[in-house]
Amino acid sequence: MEAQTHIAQYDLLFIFSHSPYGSSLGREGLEAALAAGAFDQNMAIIFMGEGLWQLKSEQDTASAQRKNHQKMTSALPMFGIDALYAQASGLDERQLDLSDFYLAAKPVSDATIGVLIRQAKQVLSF
Amino acid sequence: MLFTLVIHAAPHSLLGSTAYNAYQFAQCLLQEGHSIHRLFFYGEGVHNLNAQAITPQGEFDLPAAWQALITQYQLDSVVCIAAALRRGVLDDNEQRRHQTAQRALANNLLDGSELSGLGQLIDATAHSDRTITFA
Repeated sequence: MEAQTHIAQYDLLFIFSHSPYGSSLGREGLEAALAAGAFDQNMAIIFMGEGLWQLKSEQDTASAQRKNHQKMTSALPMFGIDALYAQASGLDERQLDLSDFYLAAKPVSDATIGVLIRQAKQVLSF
Repeated sequence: MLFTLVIHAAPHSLLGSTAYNAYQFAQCLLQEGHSIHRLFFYGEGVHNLNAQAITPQGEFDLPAAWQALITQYQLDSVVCIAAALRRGVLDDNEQRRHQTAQRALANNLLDGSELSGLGQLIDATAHSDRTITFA
């Protein structure tokens, strides 16, 4: 177990674990996170599992006839949301690398994710 | 303890039983003496409050049950406006705003709930002891 003192504590923690376009959860999670940013919350987002694809560069949704929300994701830092965590084991499973992403995210172990969740005042998962 | 429930599940979707779980959880909380700060219906969850859903005889009428619970306990029940409009759940204002000569629309949000923005979700998490998501 990692020392909990080194892991940040957030009032509101978002977990994105669904792919960006596979269901409405991708867009709806982003919209909720941006709303929280606009309300100046002490918050973070964990991208895990399929949710990691939200951060992938060069999303092309034209052939899927879906509105691309990559621009919305890239607005996160402008809304003051820069605590972005990426599940390290999920990256490995998908052969993704932080250099595939268009936003800076901090890779974290599953154990650290557990601590982040436990320490958060509220969790919203999408 | 003060709770907020976030409901993503719709009554008759693949994960439909989750919507019933949310209702039963809410009912249980109130019976046990807890309070609900807000019900927030998001995504597919907006279908829980569609007044135009007709439940067959002999089946549990979830929209009617939600409405009764909301009325009985005077619950603050908010439906995400963007999610609701996409899925055809409109209140009086939105029905009038979007209706045209070519397109007849119904005002089908159950009484006792209101359409509002995501700020209501963030506000609810900040003011509740616990936020429980039903997805």
